[in-house]
Amino acid sequence: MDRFDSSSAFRTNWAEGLDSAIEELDSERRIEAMDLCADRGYFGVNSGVATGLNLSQKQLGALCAAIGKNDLSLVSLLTAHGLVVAAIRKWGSAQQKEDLLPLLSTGRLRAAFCLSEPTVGSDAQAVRATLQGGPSEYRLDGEKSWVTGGQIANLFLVIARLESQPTAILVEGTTEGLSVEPVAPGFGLRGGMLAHLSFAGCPVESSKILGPIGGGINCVAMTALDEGRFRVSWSCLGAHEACLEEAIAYASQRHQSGKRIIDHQLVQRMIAEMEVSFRASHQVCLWAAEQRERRSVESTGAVLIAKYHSAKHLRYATQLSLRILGAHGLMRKSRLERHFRDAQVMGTIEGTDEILQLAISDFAVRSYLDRTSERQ
Amino acid sequence: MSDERIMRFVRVRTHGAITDEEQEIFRDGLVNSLFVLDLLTFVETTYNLELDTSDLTLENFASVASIGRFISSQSGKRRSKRE
Repeated sequence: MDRFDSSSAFRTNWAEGLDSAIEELDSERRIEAMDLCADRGYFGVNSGVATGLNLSQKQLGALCAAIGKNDLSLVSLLTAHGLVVAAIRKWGSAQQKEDLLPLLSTGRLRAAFCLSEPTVGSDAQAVRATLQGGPSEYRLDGEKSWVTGGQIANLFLVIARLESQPTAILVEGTTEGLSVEPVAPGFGLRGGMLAHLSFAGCPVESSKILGPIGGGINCVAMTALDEGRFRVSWSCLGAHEACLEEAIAYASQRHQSGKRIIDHQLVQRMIAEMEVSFRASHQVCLWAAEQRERRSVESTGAVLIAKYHSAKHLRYATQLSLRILGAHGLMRKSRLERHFRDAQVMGTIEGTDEILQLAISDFAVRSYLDRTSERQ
Repeated sequence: MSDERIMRFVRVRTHGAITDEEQEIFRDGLVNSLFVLDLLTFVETTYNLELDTSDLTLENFASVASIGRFISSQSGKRRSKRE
């Protein structure tokens, strides 16, 4: 029984048929995998329209865990799309929502999020891309980096400066002046189909602006990142479970020095570390899901903590499980080896560990002030 | 009375820096990048409102007093059943 499944109305194996990691597949089979996800409604899990799957927060978490268990690249592709859907759902005009959400929900439109630039990462407010002209049409100029799913997306949510204020705008993939340069697979997220984008005088109508002018970061990007972080937290949880299971399975049948290695105490300690941190990550991910479901004022804080905890402990779990699997774990095309590499990326995307520490400290202080002022 | 809840929310969020309802909230460094999202959640859930993009002006949200005035002006627009 899948421990993450929170409803018997849905399949207990969300990842059925998605056994091969997307980084190992050729482009044709990658398309098949994405189409399988689209057919299952995975592009519409937060669309709010009838053509989408529309899951609760716990179910969404379960989906991310199930797919992330085998493939953090694939779940990241769905996350990249989903965070744009979240932004449109919260900030879109009635017309934008009507035009875009149904197509996004079925995967006819595949979205990607463009915030980072060659010189802009954590300091998102410093975006340099510009929207000039107006008021009915703008010219978009600039570059965006590390766009997950950029190679296969046909709708881009771009944050650029409009009269020096960061503003969000929706750009179609067929727009004149837009070029998409695939990023060669690197150390981690090799199946993320990343791209660098460049915009050279791209014409974009003002009706494509999403949210308030000047709200590109504080409104739109923050909504997108909050959705992304929530999904990353559960995705890492799934991968963490894979580490635990593979380590226990292997150690239970591998013999050294006259006994199974799981009967060696130092191995037991490593398994204990992975189990404890897994249980804690699970609880904090559930807390985040519950806060989001209730639309609590604490939900953004809970999501920060869930992402930080889950990603950090996944990183450590991948190391421990590789220690236990020895040479076998270090072979190419092993799931653990892939999780070890992808885990490094999980601590950098959607808010580096360091940025999250700052935000979590802020949350801690105001939670403290809230509690202590109530007592007065 | 509604002002007191807003004042409390903003005072806690700014770690005690905002204590007067006319003080500007969005001065440098007083609030972090998640503040707007959380403020909207607070206003929507506490006062049962559904805001849209056109409501989100600096004029409406610049200070505790202006937030209070904005909320009072919305009293006719209760939130409809959410999708």
